[in-house]
Amino acid sequence: MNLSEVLQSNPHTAELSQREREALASAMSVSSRPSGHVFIREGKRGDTMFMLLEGEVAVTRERAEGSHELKTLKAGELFGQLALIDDEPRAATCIAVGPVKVASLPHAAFSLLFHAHAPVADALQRAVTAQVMSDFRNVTRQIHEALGKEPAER
Amino acid sequence: MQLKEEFVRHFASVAHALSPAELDTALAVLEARELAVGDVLLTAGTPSDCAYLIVRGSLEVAIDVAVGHAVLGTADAGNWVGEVSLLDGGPATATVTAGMPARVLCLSKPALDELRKSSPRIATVLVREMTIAVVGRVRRASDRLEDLRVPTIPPPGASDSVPTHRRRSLVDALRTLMGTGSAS
Repeated sequence: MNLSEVLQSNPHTAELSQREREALASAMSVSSRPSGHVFIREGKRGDTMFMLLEGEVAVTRERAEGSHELKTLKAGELFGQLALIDDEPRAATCIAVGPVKVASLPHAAFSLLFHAHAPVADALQRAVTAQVMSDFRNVTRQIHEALGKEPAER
Repeated sequence: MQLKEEFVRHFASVAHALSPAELDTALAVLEARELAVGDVLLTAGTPSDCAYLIVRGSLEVAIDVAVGHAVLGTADAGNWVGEVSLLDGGPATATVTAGMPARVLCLSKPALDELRKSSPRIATVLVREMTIAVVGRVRRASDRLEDLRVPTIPPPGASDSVPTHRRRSLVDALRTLMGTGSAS
């Protein structure tokens, strides 16, 4: 998929006007990367959000007992989107599985959009927010499930 | 005026991100509610189309888990409650009750949708603040959960049994997630 196709199919950017999607597309830069390219390294700070256009990206976490894969991203998905709202160290590593094509949006470009094209910034932020709320629900569910396995208080 | 002062004091980062005119617009869509002791603001499992900013007093946050009812602690002035439900439309994860007289500002779904159309910058600032608050809690809670994947051993000298210790750690992770640091 090319960038304008992805922006038309992503539920958060699809609702933007053609002009707004063009403004977003012109703020992003498209690049091709080889297999094994590390876009985001867990524990490091990053200031860029990525939109995967072609290929697959693995999301992994490093732990003392070894690294485990959390999920594999497909074309159309965003990653590193928290860089748009905070500058905390990244929570996971994102690495290319096979050759990939991505569009990237640095935080500085997002800030410019926020001032010049507020609906574009709002749409991107909704994508970030949707991911965060989904993570919140997942962690809540995991804790409840773990508590459910514990024996009741005596 | 007093309301504006309270808002600026407790939600300084929101106030600073807005121009004076935007701040007035934001305050005009936030509806103040006075809570008496015992008033229930949110009920776990029930959807809520409002997020509340606590500007005075504090609220009790409790949750029903498989092992019973757990009071997680209090959310104090300067915190949001109900923001996850407002943002994803899902049910509230905790029951929130006024344990003392309190004042909250309600940001309703219709008000937020209206802001998105009329003043998208204000909507973006408010949603960003709510999201940042949630993301920090999710990070810390998932780190705690991650630590618990490895079988836990109570600290030396602790009188807890292993299951009790583990359950306590899980409830602590829930506290972290809900933003109620002050343990009951």
